[in-house]
Amino acid sequence: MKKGDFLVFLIIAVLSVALFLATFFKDDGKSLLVSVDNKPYKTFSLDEDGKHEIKTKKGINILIIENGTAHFENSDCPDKTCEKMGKISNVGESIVCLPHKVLAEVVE
Amino acid sequence: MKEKSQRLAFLSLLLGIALMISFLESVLPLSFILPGFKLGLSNIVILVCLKQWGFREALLINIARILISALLFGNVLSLALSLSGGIFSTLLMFFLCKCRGLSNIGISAAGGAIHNFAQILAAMVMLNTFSVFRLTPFLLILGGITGTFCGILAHFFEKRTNFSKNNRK
Repeated sequence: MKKGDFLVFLIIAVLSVALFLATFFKDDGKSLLVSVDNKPYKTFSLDEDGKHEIKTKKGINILIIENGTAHFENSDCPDKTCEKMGKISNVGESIVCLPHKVLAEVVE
Repeated sequence: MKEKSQRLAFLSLLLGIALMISFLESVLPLSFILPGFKLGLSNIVILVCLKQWGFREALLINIARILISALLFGNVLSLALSLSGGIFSTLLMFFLCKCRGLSNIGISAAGGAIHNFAQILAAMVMLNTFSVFRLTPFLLILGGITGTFCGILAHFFEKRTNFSKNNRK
């Protein structure tokens, strides 16, 4: 063991602690990307509760965001599958409304 | 001519040792700590080769070892990950070998840490996601620990063998 070895250990330790703090305290900031007919419609932050109307040519979907989750309510589509798909909150999860061609997806 | 064939024989021997260690590692059930966790023991051979022979030989052995062990025990993803890790760690260890005040242990620890860091970067590029970056601090520390372990082993390896350019007769 030489002096430089301890310097290497110190650098590794400091780097990993710094990276850990940087990634840990970074704001999660997940958001919901809504697209209609394959085109981006609007992006909502999952941190702000609210009720949004998504108007499409074929009808209206009501998007509810509360407590960091999102779900659809009272859509005037025929099959109501989007309502049955429940709440989404994790990155990559999505809700689809086929009749209205609406896709809501959680992104980072 | 004799020089050349001696070099070839020595390097093949080192490559054989590295491959054997790679095989032992692939059999050792260490994945419960972290998926894909490995001790990186073949780094011992690379480090010894780097010190006794030089950068070109070490890089050559490392790349050959990675290609062959990926063919034998791995898949395409693991090949790309270990290639990036192997190349970067060999590069860094080469530069650190030039520094005074560093023994095998420090060099190997730094090599292990940068190996994991390069793998994270490669995974980020290939999987096209930023989320694996969160693992970086843990992998840096793990790489440092396993690197230290390998450094200690490399110290004994070097002491008890004479795989040295200068020891040839």
